[in-house]
Amino acid sequence: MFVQIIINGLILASTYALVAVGLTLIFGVMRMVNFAEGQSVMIGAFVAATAAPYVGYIPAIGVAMMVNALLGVVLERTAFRPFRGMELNGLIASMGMSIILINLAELIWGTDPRPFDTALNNISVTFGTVGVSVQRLVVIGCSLGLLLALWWLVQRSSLGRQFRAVSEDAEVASTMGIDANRIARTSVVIGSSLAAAAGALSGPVNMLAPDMGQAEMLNAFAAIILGGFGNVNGTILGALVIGMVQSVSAVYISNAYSNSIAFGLLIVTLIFFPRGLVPERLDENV
Amino acid sequence: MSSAGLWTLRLVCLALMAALPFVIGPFWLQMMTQALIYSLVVFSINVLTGFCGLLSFGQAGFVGAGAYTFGVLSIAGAPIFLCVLAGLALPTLLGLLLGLPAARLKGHYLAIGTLGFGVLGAQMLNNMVDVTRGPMGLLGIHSVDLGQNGWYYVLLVISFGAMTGLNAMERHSFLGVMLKSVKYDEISAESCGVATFGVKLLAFCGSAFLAGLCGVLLAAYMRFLTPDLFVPTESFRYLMIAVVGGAGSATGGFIASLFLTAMPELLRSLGETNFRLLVYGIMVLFVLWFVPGGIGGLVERVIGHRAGTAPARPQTDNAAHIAAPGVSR
Amino acid sequence: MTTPILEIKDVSKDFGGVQALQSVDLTGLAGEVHGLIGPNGAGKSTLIGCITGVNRIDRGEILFRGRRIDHMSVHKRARLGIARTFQKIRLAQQLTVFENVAAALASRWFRRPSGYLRVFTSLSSKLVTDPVYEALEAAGISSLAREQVTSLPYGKRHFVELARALVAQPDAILLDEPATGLTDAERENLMALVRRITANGSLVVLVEHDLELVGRLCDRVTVIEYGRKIFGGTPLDAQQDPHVVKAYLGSSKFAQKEASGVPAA
Repeated sequence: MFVQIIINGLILASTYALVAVGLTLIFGVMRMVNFAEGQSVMIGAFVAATAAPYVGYIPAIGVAMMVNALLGVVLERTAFRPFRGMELNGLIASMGMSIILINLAELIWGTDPRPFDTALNNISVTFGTVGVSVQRLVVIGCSLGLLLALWWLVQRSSLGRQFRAVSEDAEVASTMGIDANRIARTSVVIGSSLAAAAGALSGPVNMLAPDMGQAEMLNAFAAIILGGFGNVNGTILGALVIGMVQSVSAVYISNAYSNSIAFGLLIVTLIFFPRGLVPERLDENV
Repeated sequence: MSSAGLWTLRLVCLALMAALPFVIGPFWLQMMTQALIYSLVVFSINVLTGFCGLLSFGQAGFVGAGAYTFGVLSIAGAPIFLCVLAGLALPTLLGLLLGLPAARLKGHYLAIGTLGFGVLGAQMLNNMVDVTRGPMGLLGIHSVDLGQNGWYYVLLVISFGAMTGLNAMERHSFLGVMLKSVKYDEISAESCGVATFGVKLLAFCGSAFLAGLCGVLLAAYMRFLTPDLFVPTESFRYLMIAVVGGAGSATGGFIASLFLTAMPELLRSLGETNFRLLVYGIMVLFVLWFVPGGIGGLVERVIGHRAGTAPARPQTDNAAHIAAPGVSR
Repeated sequence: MTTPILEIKDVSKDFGGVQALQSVDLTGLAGEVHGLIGPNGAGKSTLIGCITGVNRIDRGEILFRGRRIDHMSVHKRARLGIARTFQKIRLAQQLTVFENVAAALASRWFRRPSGYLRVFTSLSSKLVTDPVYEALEAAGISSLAREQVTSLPYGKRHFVELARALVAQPDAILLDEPATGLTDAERENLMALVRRITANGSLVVLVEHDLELVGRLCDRVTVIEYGRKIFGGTPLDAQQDPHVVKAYLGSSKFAQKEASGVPAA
């Protein structure tokens, strides 16, 4: 039971982490919340499910990520770039995009939930007395790999340095020769691809439906508020907390409300910490 | 356009709308009636987001609270006026409770916090099966029997009245100035002596009241409820209608509610699939890109009635009084 | 002996590790124009923020008419009678000048609970138009009442901020660099207005870099450098103080202080 809870928690946490890190990256660079992120997850899952029979599961994840990269470019142009300086409008615009994406998915794939079966679902590995499907281990492993890659990208690479420069001060960064638009586009592309991975990885664990992805996104939001908008490390930790809390509460408290536990946590946090647990640096120069 | 001209225009529109039942069939009349009910929650967004600048993704929670309170009490046998009272009181109270923490949140935190409220609300409606019958739906709500036309006219009066009242409040009253000063610049509003926290709480309560009213009317009109009617996607839908109408304009909200309810149905007649959400999304993006003031903004430009036209200089004969040192005691 | 309106005693403020203000003392008297000057970044705007309540002080006391206000919220202090203008103009851009000034009636009306009943007053009623137009006349901009703030040139917006401050009938007005971007004629208007305000017994605290303005208007000045007060006294004495000269004035001189109402030749 204990192992099961941990594994479940890690699976949830890794999915939320992938989504949350994308969101936090986008927010850090563009100061806007991507409300269409949940749909990116959904589309990633569907694309992977459609591609898997042809190219195999693991490559299908790659396909999904590439498709979503394109989606990210579109998103950035339509819902983010026009609203620099009017960030709340951008929030609403991305919400509008999310609605469009749901409808498009319904048109392409229909509204009925469908399963995403992979061969890995049926193979199990045993830890002591507990059997865990390889699929679940793959979820955790791939997520870890992607997160590590992202961490390296943000902390060590020159691209990462540019991200951080634009996050600190976009104007100063442009005077230093950094193309803020390109960085913005890159952040949305990365965020979208990570969401695709999250969808493709967690898809086999649940059923797919065009309205999926909302729960992941909401929990990712909770993770970001715990960990700090724009703060990659904090966000990953936040995702871990949310995932574990949800896993534990599904068993010990109530399955029906387990989705909302994270949100309850979030609301309580916001009540006591209106600026989030890790406040952004605000320059309110009066 | 002059004041008299505006009033004539309003009356003409009202008359046109009153004539609708004689022109359109029962299906469309039902659509329009529902559009009028939902216009109230759009007004609630006008108050909260348009006038006071607070972005909320959880309005469906208030609508649901109003609707289910009315529904549950009416099935339990309570007299109708009590059902209405409770159906209005509970959402308003929730508005206060949500407003207390929410009024301290900024921008995206506020959006996410209210989203959380909406999600929790929807989940509770679904899970409290003993009270709400959850996914099975609440059937057989008692209500007044007005007939299709009767309902339409009652709602037309309520919605039009609310729109007119909100317009007057926003444009001509001190309360409107207070709300808008908080929206545009909180810090300078505070230094003008405006208690911004209190104003925001007021906006939350007023908005919740209107949304609750929408819920009560919904329950009374449809006589059955399911939790699906109040999921977060519905909150998004209300917000989108409000944005297309122009968040700061009750008139725009009214028009957009009618227009965005009618249009997808028109499109549906072209094909089986449900394009409603697609249409909404595209319209929202279109408005945000090109016409940020929404339909309301366009109306104002056409009419020439600029929001915030100030009263004229009063005629005084006491010129000496005005020429005296600036700060009088 | 004029009464102190504003007393700032030993006030310190820390901004995330940076000591923005350190043990600052200042007394503002009724009817006086008190200059607050110093190099950029010295802490002048921070001090204004502390007085109005936007910044919470870490140590010290702030008294207004003998009453401690440093724990009060911003709007409460405004309702007591402290008004301010902002260095970076903070007006509701999409609203008209009239509406912007009308908002400040809150300071005046909500001093006692019965004032809240006025919330539903129509903007056309005399309760609103009389005080608002009076303030607009005093600031010399009543012809602009129906203009949207976005359509106004920068200089005029300063006067809208001033009218906003005036309509609240304050005992103390804090002006943060009100002369930036003003034409010469507008500066004269500003000075005349400041003199009329103080002639009524109000205190004006003036943050300014314009030495001519400071010299002609201020009865006394407080000089701030790196968050510390380095001088308090008349402008004339200030320009002879070696520390002030080194830190701020250099070889510049203040203009001659005029008697109230009489412009210098």
